[in-house]
Amino acid sequence: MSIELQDIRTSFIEAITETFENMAFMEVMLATEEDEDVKPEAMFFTRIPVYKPIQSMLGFMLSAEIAKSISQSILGRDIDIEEDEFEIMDVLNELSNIMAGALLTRLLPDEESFELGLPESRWIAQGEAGCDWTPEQEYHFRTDGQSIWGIWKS
Amino acid sequence: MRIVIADDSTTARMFIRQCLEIAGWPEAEYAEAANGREALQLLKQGTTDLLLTDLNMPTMDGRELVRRVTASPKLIGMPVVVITSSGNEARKQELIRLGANAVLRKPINPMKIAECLEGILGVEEET
Repeated sequence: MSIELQDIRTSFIEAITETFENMAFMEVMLATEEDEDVKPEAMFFTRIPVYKPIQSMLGFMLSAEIAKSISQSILGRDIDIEEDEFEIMDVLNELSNIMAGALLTRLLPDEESFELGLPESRWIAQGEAGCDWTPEQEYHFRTDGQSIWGIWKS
Repeated sequence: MRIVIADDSTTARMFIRQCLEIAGWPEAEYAEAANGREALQLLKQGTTDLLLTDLNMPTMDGRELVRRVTASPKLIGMPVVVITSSGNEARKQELIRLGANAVLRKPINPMKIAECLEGILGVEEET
């Protein structure tokens, strides 16, 4: 089956905004042309494989600062970036899992099931994400004056 | 009331538990498992009133857990709710056929879980 790129874009935007709003109570919006699209030197990179119906990968990249505020919002306590790295990655993994489900539910007809793999997160230096996976599509979002990049590869 | 929550994500387990507490089960005894195998071990230890499980877990996934739970004479009649991000209609029907009582799509919230459990348990919440 084929999925149109425009459908992915629309559904991706809806899925990421729904997920962050429901889980972290954060308003996430697609960036405008005026928003600066500059990635930090290092950031969290989270991805989840999709096995069915189309082998693909999706996820997001965000700064430590925004990962910290998301984790604090969800876990309801202060977070230290270094000491709580495992907890932050667990939060980001769960967000990617929910986002993937929200995206595929929108893209696929009800009678077609999909299969997700296990999510993974890591801390990367700029450009390192391309070592084993270069995103095909990247969507730039903004929340609280900061950026989140949604990524997809089919 | 004893509730077992199975999910490989500690964040998800915490979130589900918080939803249950807000939804009206703050006094329940909660036991948590990171996969289906751990959940089965917990289910063997005493009487459990409700199992909430994720689908996509390492070691033993939620589908296998539901299959084993519904095939076990000891666990017969125990309500099973699957909470998953892969909760479209096709997957829901498959899990219901396997024996799950309900399938909820993530993200959940206290209202969603309360409505589901009131229907399954046939009672109002504890508080």
